[in-house]
Amino acid sequence: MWRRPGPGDDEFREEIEAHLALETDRLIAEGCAPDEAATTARRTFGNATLARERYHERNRIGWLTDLGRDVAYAARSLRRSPGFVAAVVLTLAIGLGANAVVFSAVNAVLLRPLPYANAESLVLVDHPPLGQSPEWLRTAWRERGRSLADFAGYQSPSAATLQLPGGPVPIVTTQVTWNFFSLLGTSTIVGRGFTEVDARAEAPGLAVLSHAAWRRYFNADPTVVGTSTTHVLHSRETLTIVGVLQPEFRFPLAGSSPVSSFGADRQPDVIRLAPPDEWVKVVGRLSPGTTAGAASDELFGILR
Amino acid sequence: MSTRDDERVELLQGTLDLLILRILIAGDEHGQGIARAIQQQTDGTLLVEHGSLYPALQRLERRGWIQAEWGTSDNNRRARFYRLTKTGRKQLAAGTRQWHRLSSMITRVLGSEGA
Repeated sequence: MWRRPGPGDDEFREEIEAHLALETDRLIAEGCAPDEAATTARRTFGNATLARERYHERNRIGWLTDLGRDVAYAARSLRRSPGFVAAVVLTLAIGLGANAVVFSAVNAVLLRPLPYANAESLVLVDHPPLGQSPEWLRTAWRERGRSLADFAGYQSPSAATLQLPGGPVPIVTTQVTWNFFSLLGTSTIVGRGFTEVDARAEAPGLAVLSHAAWRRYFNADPTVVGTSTTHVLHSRETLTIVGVLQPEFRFPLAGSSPVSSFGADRQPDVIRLAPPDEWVKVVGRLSPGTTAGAASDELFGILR
Repeated sequence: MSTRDDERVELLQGTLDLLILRILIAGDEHGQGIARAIQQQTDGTLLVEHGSLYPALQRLERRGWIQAEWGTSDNNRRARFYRLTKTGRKQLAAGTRQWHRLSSMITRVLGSEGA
């Protein structure tokens, strides 16, 4: 089977170790004491040990059981001492009530019910400093984890261009894993979403349109399914549209800073199927009876 | 990426890619070197969380805009060095032009600081 270019899992770990060694060398050359250099290098990269210590400290004062203010505080201090790989330290519940801290800039979403099935069991898994997770980590979670009944991947939306017969149009696009829509309980109004077969086939360029984009750029034409169009972001990818989402669907737009990237606070028009090894943010469903805190504990422990 | 004030500045995904490509114009470099270069070239204003570079590097490598091979650093450490490909150079040129267009557009929309 053709393998994508890029490091394998072991090679990647070796690369990270090399990175840390080089950064340590550099710090020593700049006058840092050797053991302090090693610690600083890990912290600048992401310090697993430090994050772990802080995480357990947080756990003792029960911050995970009192979302809201404590979450905001924990999030700020976690950014100061992020943990690479080891730091699955924070999960937030999407939904109404005290837990609706995830969405920042998009005020409208905070005020109305989110159109996801059983929204109170949904969590976002955050693990600074990467913010997104590699495939091998998610595979480990799937194989060894029980706290999440299921999870899917997504990315922040970004600006792109779509080549339509009438010319190029500016759009907002993003990528998701094949089970993203089924996890959220979202259905399509035309066509279908993505399937596991799509993901395994590694068929390039499958995409789903938002209802708004369908009306705006395709005149709500029901024969849009199967249409090909060219998506221009970093490369001229041909997209095949397989479905159109329901009008009330809302893509999760979480955690934007005041200075947010262009398009990151806008609903995506075109949602593509992400390649399986893409780094993605994770949204998951808690297993029945499991708390966000317990899930954090478990996922944090499933490493290496 | 984070600034000194601990604000997480979310850059457009393509921006980090462009920064990496730009740094590689000057020569092959490994991940730690790239992280350091970003810090240096922004006068330390942007303190990169080094780990955050790797998703971008893997994305660029998968697209064929950079290629990598193991080599030896100046101080004799084994490291994975990245190099711009021909496609990567073209993307850097196109991406930089687009970035400038986009940012001047945003500046116009936002107006001047304090307005």
